[in-house]
Amino acid sequence: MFLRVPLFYWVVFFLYPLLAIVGLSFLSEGQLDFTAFQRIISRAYYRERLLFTFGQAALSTLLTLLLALPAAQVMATYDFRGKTVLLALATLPFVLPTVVVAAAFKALLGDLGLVNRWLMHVLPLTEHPLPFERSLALILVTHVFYNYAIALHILSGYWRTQSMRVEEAARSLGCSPWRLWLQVRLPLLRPALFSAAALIFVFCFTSFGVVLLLGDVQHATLEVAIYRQVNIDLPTAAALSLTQSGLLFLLVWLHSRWSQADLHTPALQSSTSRTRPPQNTLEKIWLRTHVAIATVLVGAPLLALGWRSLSHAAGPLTPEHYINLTQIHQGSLLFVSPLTTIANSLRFALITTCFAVILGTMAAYWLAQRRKKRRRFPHLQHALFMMPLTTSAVTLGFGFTVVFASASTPEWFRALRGSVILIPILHTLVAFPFVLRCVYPALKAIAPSLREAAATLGAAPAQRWFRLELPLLSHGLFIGAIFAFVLSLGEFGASIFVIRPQQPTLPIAIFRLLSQPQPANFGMALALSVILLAICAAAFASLNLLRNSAPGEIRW
Amino acid sequence: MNAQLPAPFFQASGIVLHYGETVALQGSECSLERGQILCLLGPSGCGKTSLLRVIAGLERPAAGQLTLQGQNLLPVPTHQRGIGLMFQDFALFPHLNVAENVRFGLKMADLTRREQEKRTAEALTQVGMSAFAKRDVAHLSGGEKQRVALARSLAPQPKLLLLDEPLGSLDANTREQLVVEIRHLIHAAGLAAIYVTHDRGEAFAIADQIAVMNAGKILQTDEPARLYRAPRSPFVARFFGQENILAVLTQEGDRARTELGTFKVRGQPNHLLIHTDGVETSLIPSNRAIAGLIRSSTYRGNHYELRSVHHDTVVKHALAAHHTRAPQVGETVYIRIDPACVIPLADDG
Repeated sequence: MFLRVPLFYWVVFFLYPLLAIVGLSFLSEGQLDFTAFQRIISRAYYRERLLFTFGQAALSTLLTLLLALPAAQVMATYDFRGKTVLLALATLPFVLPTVVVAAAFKALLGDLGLVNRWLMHVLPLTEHPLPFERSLALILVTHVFYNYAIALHILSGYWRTQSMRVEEAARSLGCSPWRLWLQVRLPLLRPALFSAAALIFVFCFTSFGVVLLLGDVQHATLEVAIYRQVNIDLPTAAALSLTQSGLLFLLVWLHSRWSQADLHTPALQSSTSRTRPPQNTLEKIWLRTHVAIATVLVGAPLLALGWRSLSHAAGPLTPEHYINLTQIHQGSLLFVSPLTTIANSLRFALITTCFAVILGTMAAYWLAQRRKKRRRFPHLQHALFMMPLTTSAVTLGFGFTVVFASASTPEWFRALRGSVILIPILHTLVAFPFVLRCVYPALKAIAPSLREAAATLGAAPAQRWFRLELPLLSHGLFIGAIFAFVLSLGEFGASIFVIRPQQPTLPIAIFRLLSQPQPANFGMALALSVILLAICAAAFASLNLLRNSAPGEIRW
Repeated sequence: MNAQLPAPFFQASGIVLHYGETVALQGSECSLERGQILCLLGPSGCGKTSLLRVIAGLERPAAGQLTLQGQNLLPVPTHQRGIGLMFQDFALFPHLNVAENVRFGLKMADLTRREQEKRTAEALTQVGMSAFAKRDVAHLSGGEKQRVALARSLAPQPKLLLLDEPLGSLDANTREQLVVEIRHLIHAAGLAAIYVTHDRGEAFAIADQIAVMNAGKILQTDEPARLYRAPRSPFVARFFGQENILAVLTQEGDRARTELGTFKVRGQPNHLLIHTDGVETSLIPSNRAIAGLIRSSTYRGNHYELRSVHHDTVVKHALAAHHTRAPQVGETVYIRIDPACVIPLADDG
């Protein structure tokens, strides 16, 4: 009974808001009502949003794969100095909060960005020459930055399982380098390409923070449209959200089908390690080009972010933006000093981590117990718990808005609105499945004989848990806790719907500051982004320390 | 049971255990004294591990009684029974090193740190693993793991030690060496132990008493030599490699008639066992010998194992190899049966 708490949590905070969205989309004063959907279909604006959402996702996916495909070949084929560092660096974007990434690209290519300021200084000009801000190009580049690492990992990982012999055989049969790509490499890679493409498409399809910060009214995805509709027309927003969720569900389903069908077909295993140093000048140039692209793509925005947070454009370095963070500015969009938002975020993240660790562990035990008793639908509950992960953050946050706005909502739920734990509750929806994912395999791996051995050695049930199970789960728990912490720190899409103005989190503060054109606000936003980035990077670095130590178990 | 006798050190009686629909134990009984090693021997799936788990408190029997030093064990939870259990897969804790594994039970007993360290060191010395104290258990060989597991279960000085096929996962050479060591260690510690195995060679080497189990029941408990010499039922006889089991056709007084002749017996047995060791074999005819034709001949090193047909009955017997030529299939062979090796058998369970 006790272990069912995660299920109740899931029903109350995930299912109920989701059903509230469905209700709001189809019902008006208790009657079936399709006007919200009719509005969506009839208005050109919404049709354009749908097209834009698909279009930008498709373009982002295509660009990412075009860049990542040769890089994956380089990673899977060659040995070179700094490869490990480069791979680690390329993974970094994946764990960065969306607002930090958006801020980094504004710092690099925006109107106030490093490149524009530098060109103005050198040429010299009075206006910024590159009109990237609020353009599709900036959104696309940012998406490429985000998903490059995912594509690289999936493709080069799959590539390594392919036998070198096949390529050698093709070459011995007279295959030229171009035909080798077209007739051997690409066909062999097709399953991995499909899987990576589907995954990247899903991520770009649900892109919210990046598009909200870098786009405008014309450059807005469905998610941004939902956000903009909330204060204007709630039923339309609900219908949009439902449409978006339906499409997303379809995409996720397609992705899981593709990746299951093809990625697991046994590839030809290479007998020896296939990486080698580049052998001739051409290979060296090819290798260096892609190392340079990867380094610039990942490094430039982050360096620009750091540099611009410490400078006024092209001037000398100054800590002014960081000093500004300690003050409450007159007429500021934030009601508090920006530093307070760091404290808010850390507090929310810590509470989220506690919630997620407790709920995730309980869910893992509950699932393990049901499995042992051979209950029906062993995978169903698991899949249910994972659903918040495949639901867009905007839908999660919007669901709460709808519930709060509904007259039939129970009083205790409404009371959450002013509560400190509202944000952690929302973040936990996404964070606890992560903990579950980390803890459940570790729990299943504990052989029953270990518990029995501890019992026969005199350990009481509580001692068995503390001295045996907890140490064996600790690895997974720690990884899950770090994930929960970082997820909560960077969470933006759901929080923005329910956050109280006087208690902004770091990402919300960055968003508000970035939305203002004044250079002072811009500088503070960048400084806050650097701080958020540093906290996230430090949390993930702690995982790397752990990876090689300790016996046991979870490798990730 | 005679009320005058003192109660045995450990006793299990009438143990019944179900796993869902399957009956794992149906009224198993066994007992042993302090300092004795009892071996539960039987084919796999006969319920010997289940009986061990009931004794350890890891399974709750549907019926039966368990007493240790006169105390009823059934209501006592596993961790308070003071019964050590050594698992077939060793169940070493992967997050602890060798010494920490051995120390686990001592910690649970709330001994002082000094006492814990002393007894851990002693236990490791006993099994010859002192040099491995700080080693990660994942890096041990099978034999080493087995020693650590033994040290771990010995260290808290349990009243009763249970060993569940402790050599099952080791290779034959390591097994032969360790079985002698285990017997020595258990006796040196003055422990009562129950040892589960399906290997009769292992059982002979280690046990003071062997209980042969089949289908959830203990069929016969005896000293190893008596069990081998005088099994009481066809199952036990066959389990120890005996094949010459004859049905009793008719019985008049103490004379029982079988296909192979009439033998003097005690009681009213349904079957007679002609023990292989009691069949004298010769290729030369002699007085009162029964002639037969050899059906198969297998060279076994110091003897030929023969199966020959006498009066429509197949008899298994041995011909010492050192003073004869190889017997041929189809050849005539002569056997004489030692009346002392004709053993009456009751029906199985």
